[in-house]
Amino acid sequence: MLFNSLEFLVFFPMVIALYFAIPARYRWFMLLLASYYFYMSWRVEYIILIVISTVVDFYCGKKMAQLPEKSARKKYLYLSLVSNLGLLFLFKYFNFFSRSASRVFGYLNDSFLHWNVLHDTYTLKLLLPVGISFYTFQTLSYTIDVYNGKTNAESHLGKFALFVSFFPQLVAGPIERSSHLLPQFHKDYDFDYNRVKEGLLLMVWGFFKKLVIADRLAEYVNEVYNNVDRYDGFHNIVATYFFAFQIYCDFSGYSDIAIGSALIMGFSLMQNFRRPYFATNIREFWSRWHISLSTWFRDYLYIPLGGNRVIKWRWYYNLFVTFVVSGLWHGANWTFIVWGFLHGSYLVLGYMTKNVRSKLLKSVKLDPNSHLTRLLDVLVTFHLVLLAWIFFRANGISDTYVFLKNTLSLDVADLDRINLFRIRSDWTISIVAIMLLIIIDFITERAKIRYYFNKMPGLLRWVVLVFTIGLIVFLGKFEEQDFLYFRF
Amino acid sequence: MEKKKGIWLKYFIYVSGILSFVVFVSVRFNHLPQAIVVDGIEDHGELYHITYIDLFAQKIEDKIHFRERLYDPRRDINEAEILTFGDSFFEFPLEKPFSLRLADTLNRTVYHANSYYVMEYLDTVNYVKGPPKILILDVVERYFPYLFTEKHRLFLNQNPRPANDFYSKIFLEDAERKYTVFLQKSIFTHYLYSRVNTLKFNLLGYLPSQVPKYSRDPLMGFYHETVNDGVTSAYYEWEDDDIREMCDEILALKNALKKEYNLELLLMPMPNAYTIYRNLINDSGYNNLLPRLYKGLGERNIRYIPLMDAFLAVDEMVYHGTDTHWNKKGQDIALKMVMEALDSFEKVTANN
Repeated sequence: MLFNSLEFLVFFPMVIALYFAIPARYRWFMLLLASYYFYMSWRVEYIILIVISTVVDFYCGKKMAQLPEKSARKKYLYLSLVSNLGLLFLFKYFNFFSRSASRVFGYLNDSFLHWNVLHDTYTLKLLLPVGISFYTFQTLSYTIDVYNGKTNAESHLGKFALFVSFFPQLVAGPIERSSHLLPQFHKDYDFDYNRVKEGLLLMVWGFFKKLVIADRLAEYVNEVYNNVDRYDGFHNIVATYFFAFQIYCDFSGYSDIAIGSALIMGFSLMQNFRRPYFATNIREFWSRWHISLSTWFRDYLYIPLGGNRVIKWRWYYNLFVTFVVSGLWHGANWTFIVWGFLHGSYLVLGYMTKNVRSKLLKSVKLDPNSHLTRLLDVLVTFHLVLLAWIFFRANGISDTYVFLKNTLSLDVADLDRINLFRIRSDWTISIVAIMLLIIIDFITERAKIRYYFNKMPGLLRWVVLVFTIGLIVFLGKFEEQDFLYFRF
Repeated sequence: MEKKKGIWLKYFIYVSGILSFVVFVSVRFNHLPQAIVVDGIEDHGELYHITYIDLFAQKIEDKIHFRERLYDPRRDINEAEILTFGDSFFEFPLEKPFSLRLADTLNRTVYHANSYYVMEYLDTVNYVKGPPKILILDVVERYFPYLFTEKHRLFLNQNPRPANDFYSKIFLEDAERKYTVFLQKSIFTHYLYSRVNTLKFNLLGYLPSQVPKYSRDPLMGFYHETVNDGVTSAYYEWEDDDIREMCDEILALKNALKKEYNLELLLMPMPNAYTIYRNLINDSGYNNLLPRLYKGLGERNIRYIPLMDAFLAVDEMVYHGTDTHWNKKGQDIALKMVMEALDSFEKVTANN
């Protein structure tokens, strides 16, 4: 079930009405049923994967809690890792690695070995389960934390099952930590006017970003990126700028709807985006973009590899590994690996050239803390991210090559044909909506916009809310578009 | 004080929940209860039911429900003197269906099946080879690639049967479509839905992607399958080999019908509205699929009805402007041409 579907528009009011109507002690059960229904609406049989993850990790957690020795707990950690990552590998990566291996062996056979074997590609006809990367990582963090003694094992199977499948964040995060979310399922939440209002507001803003901005820009981006032979120069540049805002609005919109819908029921989910395009360097970008994933990789991969408390070259290696794995997490395609590699390179080069850049700033007498320097930093960071988005969005490595090659041929005449939208007015609406987004993000960066919103007279507040809903209804794109991060 | 402040919101949530439950249950019936469907809109053409924009809100007269007669389960296909197969043009429910007009005009029994898959259908209903009969097959222009090319073959399920078990009702496969129908047709939401769509059309030029092109004078909307980038489109460039393959497949069908069932094929390629009216939108891009097919069919001695030439030759509109199907005039022309073809076929059969 998609958040931007009529199905969800019917499902969600039923769930929250029931949630507040029934006694608190039954709510976890009702939410569990609702979450399973939410997932099964996409494909009924794949619920079995969630049930397997739930049962295995609950069992491993309980067993590990009974063993004081870390070494004795190890086998249960391995059981959890193998079963979760095994399912993830089978459904998401098997075909990719099989095809890649087949190509390598095919090349070796043809060029050197001439064995005439291993030419066949073994692939599985399996549909990628929606959200498998998200719930797998969430439940893995639980077993790793229990193994490390950072969190207690959950004793209630039903509430643990709800932790794995909680519908607002089941298929696209935020990837929650057990220490943050699990205890919340043991508390009772009364109806709270302010909390419900905050949640609704966040949901409305999320829907605005998704339906008015992301899905509108998607038409342009898809047209250009799906026909890389047909377009060049300005079209490619515009499509890439549009994609930067499409993916931001798509994913942060989803996160806002998830956080808002959980908040209405009383649950607090972690912040997933913090105006990432205002980052002044790549490290800061990753502390603002998909925060729940970047902190996951920091805590469960980068730090266990040694983090930055190792010799310099090992540190750089750790950064590369973390980002390449992060790229692979996004999808079984070489484009994602290159995307991760690029971000790793940005970070390493950033550290390597730190002193040179400081000297350069001094030589041109620029104050590193001035507004101008900050603006330049923001622009450079944004364009580095933009370059990497090309690999992220392209349909394959060969498409990326064609796209980049064609981008270099700039034809001024293309500017007259720059509007590729089917509905001509979508061009103006897109530009205005992006500017509005930047302005709102800019204000939020400097002040808590919600604080000022709450200071408004009650009636005005509701007028603003209803007006925004009206804008969504009037300007939204309702020809169903998947959330981009559902694919991961 | 805080609790009291929010009490209206709490009740609003309860009411929304109850209404949502009513909608949840409603769409799980096969049809919306008539009591909640807005009166009158069923008479409009299908382009209105896609767009819900006032411009396309035109009533199509002569709405007659012939479906029950058409699907009378007591009829025996073996007793019919003429068989008709094909798509919605033959059973367009907003006019008197073609098959029934044919039956009434000739005073003969006509059996109609809403299916492109003639051989499979005849096998399923145990058709017995008997004296020679005519089988008229209507295929809309845009579906030739799906039916008669290996590369683009697509199974067109024309009569989807809704699943009726409890499990399928809970996890509705086409839930989104059913909720959309509710939004479009129910008395609670229709007015707002059509107002918003009309306002978006008037102010922003918004049109749903299923009707991307249209002309205002005369009013004519074009269905997306005929003007998009796909193989069904009038812009798709066909190679000579593709046309040859289509004609060969039709020839194979003709021969199989004759050999297995003693049936003579009369093909009626139905032009897309775009093929006839593309000049209304100053859009000259047409792949000439029909003229090229006519040529190939003629070379293979396959009988066909050249509706395109006949439709282009008349000044009157032969298609509804707010629907993809023909109107009474178009049906009249087709009926006349089919009668002539049947006459000629019978003369040939008698001479033999």
